[in-house]
Amino acid sequence: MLKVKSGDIEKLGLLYERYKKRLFSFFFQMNHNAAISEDLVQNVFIKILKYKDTYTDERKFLAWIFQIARNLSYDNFNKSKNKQNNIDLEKITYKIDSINNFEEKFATKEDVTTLKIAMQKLTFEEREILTLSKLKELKYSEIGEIIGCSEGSARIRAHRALNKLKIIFFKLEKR
Amino acid sequence: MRYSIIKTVLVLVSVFVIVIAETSAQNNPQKTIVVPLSNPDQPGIFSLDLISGKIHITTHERSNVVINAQKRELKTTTAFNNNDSLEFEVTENNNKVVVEMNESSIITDFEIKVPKKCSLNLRLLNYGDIYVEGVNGEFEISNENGKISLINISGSAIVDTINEDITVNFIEVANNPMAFSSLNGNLDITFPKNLQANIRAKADNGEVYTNLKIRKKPAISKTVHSNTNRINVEEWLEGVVNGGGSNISFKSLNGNITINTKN
Amino acid sequence: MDIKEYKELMMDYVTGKLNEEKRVEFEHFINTNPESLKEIDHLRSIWKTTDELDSPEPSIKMDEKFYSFLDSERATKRNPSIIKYVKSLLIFPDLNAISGKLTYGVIVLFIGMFLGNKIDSNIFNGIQNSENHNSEVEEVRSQLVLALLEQPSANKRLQAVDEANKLVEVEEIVINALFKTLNNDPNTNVRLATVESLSNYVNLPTVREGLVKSIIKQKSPLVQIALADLMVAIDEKKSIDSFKQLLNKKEVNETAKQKISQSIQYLL
Repeated sequence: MLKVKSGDIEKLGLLYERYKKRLFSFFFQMNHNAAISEDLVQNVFIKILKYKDTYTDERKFLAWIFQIARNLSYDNFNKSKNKQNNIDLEKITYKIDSINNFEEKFATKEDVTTLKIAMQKLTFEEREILTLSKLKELKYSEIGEIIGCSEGSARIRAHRALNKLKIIFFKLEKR
Repeated sequence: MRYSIIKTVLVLVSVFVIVIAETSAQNNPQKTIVVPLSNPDQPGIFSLDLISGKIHITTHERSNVVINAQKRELKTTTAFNNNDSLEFEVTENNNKVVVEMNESSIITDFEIKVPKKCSLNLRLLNYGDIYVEGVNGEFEISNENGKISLINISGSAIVDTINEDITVNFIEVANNPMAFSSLNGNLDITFPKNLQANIRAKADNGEVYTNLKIRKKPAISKTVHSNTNRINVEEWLEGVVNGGGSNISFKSLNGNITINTKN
Repeated sequence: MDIKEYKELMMDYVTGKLNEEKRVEFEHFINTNPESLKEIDHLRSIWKTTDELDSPEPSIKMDEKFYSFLDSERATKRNPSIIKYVKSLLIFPDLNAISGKLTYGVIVLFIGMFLGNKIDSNIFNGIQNSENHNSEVEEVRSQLVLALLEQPSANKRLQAVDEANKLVEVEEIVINALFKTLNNDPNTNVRLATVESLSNYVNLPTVREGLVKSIIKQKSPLVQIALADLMVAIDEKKSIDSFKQLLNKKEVNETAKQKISQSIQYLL
């Protein structure tokens, strides 16, 4: 990253290759729209170039890049909130199944579908903290920085979100 | 295994298939079919690979594809079996409409209407021209023994002919690589004034006419041997237009090349 | 570990963020506290299931968009650092031997040419490429070429060939992919562009050999002629037999036959 800062634009290509999948998947989990997620990934890198001077190597790059990503995802959510963008769950399931191996995924398909519905019933913030928790390299202190709260508070929020997800999931399953 | 069968069935259901077989004894039978697109708000793709006939494509305001096929009446019946019936197959899958000809030796003239936004993939071998007007999309078009005219189109095009002219008139261009080539035909390509591109043109035995600033590339010859009679393969005219963009190449062996921009 | 620390670390444990030492300590604690173990098991099972919430792969469009953005950024960065490029050009060992005065003269000349806009942009690209030659970027670009060559749209395949032309060093796998395209691509313009792209590597014996082998496979007169021109330019006499075979084929276009016979004359 420091090389990008010093003006070596070619290095941006490396950063892109290294982080594009994780960023795309973060955005996709948040908005379930592949096209918008791709645009947001692009925007992350435009922002990296624009704000490269604010990066210092004391901070972990992953945390910095996800802070940019999180802000973009949040803006996007606020924009689409007004439109009452109800996501068609069946469509999502179909899209993902057509990409992955059909047979392999079939065993857990029902669970996963239920879980997807459960995820959608969480608030944006709850979904966000769980999606960020997925990134093993990010410590809760860093997740706190990204979403703007303390380390302890990030842990508690994650715990609550996961508990809520569990409750919704089991409720749905019993039906 | 069971699941893959289910999957196959699903795919088949989503595909729109029509087999047209006109067996009437009429002299020049014709058939019109309307193919709806599965996602009407999305651009379509139309593909036709034809051995003998002509292809004429215009647009309409609807979001379907209307295909009219007509068997061409022939003065002489020696080379062709005039008793063959008009027969072709149309499939639609996820907005891609494909017309496939069954093996028949008749000459078929197609008049097609597509939505304004539609990419075209057309190939023709004999007995006719390809004419496209007013469509916006990506065009991949090849005609061995007839002309290709793309009038008032938008998007990008990759076009080749062997013996006849290529005439293309763009209203708007997409920033995609393009290529136009012909063996014996002339190329006459017109772009909007705001074109941004890197242009390369080579007319081996003809002339290049243009209102763009393009010039001979600095002679960096690839030939190191100093033998006589060496043909220089690097005689491309090159130019950067409005700061540059995608590469667009023009090539004709025996024809002239005209590249112009207009408002 | 006490209950307070357990509460604090349980999310770290469930999401796999604990280091080895803490993890052992944590597991020891829950194994001696059945209540906690039950709680953790619940959280863990639901967390495991969220692993299945997978995302599709981003499309190739995303890569294309990014790289065209990168290209445009590079273009805007180019102007202010012209001196740097010229300098980097002069760092080559043999040029180092040149006296200071002369070096200075060359720099002034270069800048003068640049300001006078007399320098061809392609030469610029050359400078740019040699300066930024970086094996990792090359690797990424190679991957992009390979992916684009497999696309159903001729547009993308043409773009692949353009990208391949930007490579400074080409890997065998890219050469092989280009040959596959030259011999099998349904679009004439794509095959024509591929002949040109491969002409950059005629110093490699395998490329020369591949080009000679490809002659007989070509059906389009335009591609046959492009290959004939190239074989003459590189004086590849091994191609004569292949061209003679083409001349004997009934279906080969007459214009192409004339051009091929001419080329054979030059090569003999």
